[in-house]
Amino acid sequence: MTTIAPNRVRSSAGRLWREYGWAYLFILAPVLLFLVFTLYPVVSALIMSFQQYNIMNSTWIGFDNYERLFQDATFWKSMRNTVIFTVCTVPVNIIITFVLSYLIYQMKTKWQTFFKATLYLPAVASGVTISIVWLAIFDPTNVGLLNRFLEWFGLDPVIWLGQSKTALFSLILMNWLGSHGAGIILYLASMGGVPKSLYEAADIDHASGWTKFTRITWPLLKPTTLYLLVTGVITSFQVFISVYMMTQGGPNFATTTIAYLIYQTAFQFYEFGLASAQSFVLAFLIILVSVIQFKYFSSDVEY
Amino acid sequence: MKKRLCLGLVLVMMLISACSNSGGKEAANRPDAKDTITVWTYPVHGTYEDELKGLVADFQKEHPNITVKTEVLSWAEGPKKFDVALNAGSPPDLYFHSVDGTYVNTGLALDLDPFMTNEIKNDYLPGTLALAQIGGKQYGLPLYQFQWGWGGNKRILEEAGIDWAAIQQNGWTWSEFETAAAKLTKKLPDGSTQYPLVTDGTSLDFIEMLSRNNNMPDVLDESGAFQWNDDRILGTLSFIKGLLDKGYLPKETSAIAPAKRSDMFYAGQAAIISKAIPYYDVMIQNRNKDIDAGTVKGEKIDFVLLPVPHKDDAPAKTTMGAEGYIAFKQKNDKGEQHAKNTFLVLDYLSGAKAGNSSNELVLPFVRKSQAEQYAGKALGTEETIKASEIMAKNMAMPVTLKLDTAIAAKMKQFKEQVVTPNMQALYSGEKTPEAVAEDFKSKGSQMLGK
Repeated sequence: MTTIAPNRVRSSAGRLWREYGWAYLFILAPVLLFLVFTLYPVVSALIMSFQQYNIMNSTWIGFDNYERLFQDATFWKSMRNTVIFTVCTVPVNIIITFVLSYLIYQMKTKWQTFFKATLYLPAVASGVTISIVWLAIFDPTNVGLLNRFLEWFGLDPVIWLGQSKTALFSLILMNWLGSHGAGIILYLASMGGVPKSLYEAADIDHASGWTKFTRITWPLLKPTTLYLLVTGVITSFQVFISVYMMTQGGPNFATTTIAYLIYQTAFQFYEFGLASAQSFVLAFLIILVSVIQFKYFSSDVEY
Repeated sequence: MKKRLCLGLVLVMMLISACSNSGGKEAANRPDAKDTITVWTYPVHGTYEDELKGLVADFQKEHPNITVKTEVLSWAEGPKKFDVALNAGSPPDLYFHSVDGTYVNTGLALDLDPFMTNEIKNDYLPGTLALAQIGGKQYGLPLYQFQWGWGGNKRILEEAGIDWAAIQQNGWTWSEFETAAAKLTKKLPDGSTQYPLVTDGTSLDFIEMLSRNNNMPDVLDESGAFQWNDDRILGTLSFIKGLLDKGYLPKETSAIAPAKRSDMFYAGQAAIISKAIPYYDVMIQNRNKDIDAGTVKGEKIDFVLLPVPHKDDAPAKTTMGAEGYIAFKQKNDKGEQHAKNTFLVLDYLSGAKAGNSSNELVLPFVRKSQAEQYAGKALGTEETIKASEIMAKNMAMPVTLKLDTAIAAKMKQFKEQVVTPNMQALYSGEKTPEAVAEDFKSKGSQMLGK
């Protein structure tokens, strides 16, 4: 058995420090930030999910919070609402974003800039402000913009946010019409990156517009589409502001999403342990869905 | 040698800092030691922020060693900010709210009984101090008594021939209300409807006030017995459903937010609104002044404070309670002297001069010294003050003050998880009163026992 002399260890550590010391010093700040603001809260929340939390005296209760969670009808309803919201918003949003980007891409540069700025505006405004505007649009009386519109066609006003059958759809509609700015910027950047020579070659072969789209444009925009799909699913699984501002999860739990349920459990009922368990179930779901998306949609994507 | 010297220096410094720390604690426990008290509050009334600044300045003149740091929170976001701070173990020393069992449950609410002198106790009007107690222990000092009722538009009531003064004096029953409601329903020239009553569909004030006027103090009574499980709650729900079916409440009630309810009142589309507080009198007087000055457009309104009608065979009850400052300690307790200083500030912010809040809000005073200080300076109209006094005679105390804190917390959860969604379903016509009452009964038995 060979032994390394302590002096040799010290000298190699010293050399490591001399050669890479500054590099370690520079990454120390982000590592510390990660440890304090990400890892520590996550580990604390994980521990809390196995506790009946009280600031002065928490008690360890094992998997009780998780058991309670899976037996809770409201949790399953919120899960159902979240899945419906995600399934209805993400694909439709990607299609709308893509079509808008495609249309804008055909325009002259100054018009492209105008539309990019206009469509990006909602992304700059706070979710709270946008929700207030939409509250006025969904006003249940004939003062509301949407009900005025229906009135022109001789239809009765709809209580958009006050009925179970329309409340979740109203939030979906709001999402369809207002969250395309970032996606458009990404798609336009990607479209600009598609080599012109490919289209010229297709023109020589007398390819139709549809063929050029399906064989050139769409395949080359797949990485962007995958990115938008993954981030879109993550964002919509965490939908909170519009629910909080517009419906408070109602009526009759029709718009309660998992993120809103977590908020309610923690800050209305002070059940931080249960809320932590709900958060970990949500995190697990998001990871699972993201892995599935990468596995099945990224097979022919080149980065 | 150098190393030893360094080690020695470090040890000496540690020793010095340890000594100075314990010396610091001793110093902090002296009554004249410097201390800082944090106060989180709300814009209690239009000029409260200025009033608070004045009170704090006066206090600091008398107690130069105590710094009072105040923060005025928004009504919308403040409660969440406080909840986070409380559950992180670092609440402010004083927080403006009504005493709540969930706060006491954290173990951080400060028991004020050791600091309550006979002079302070005797200054409070009978029954008012109890409004900030839980389980007989004092956790806060009331600043004013809140009072919930309904609010009417005098012009609309008089046009329909409703004797509002008699209602203020004698109260009214559900049948009498329905008779009045029939007279108050009409189409307005602009095509919109004038509703006899408009409430918001997001809060539980409406069902709580009506059920109190049908012999139910709350979901639970003071002994913790479940109340919303029999014909009384079914009768109350059926009364509400009847109002919706007859068009006495808007069919859009499930989607009406408090702000929309106020808008409808100002637009003359609501003869009566639920809930209203006596302060609306001052608010609406100010709005009328703004209309005169041309800064606000709309019809000037004369406000009428009305009691909530009671079921024909049940006694009238007015929902009342108290709001004021609650004292807290932190997870890292700052010691006995800090608690004493907190109480000093608490008493000052709830003292005679602070009675201006009751005066502004047109609410009954809680302390004799406040009533004396503001005698003859009332801001509300004589009618509202008188109506408020009559309503106060039928005061229904919050049952949460007598309930065990854990049971009070369960009742709060029952309201949020069961009552709120069911009321929304009732307002939107998705559930019948019978189905709602059955849900209350079954889920109430599970969550609250019998």
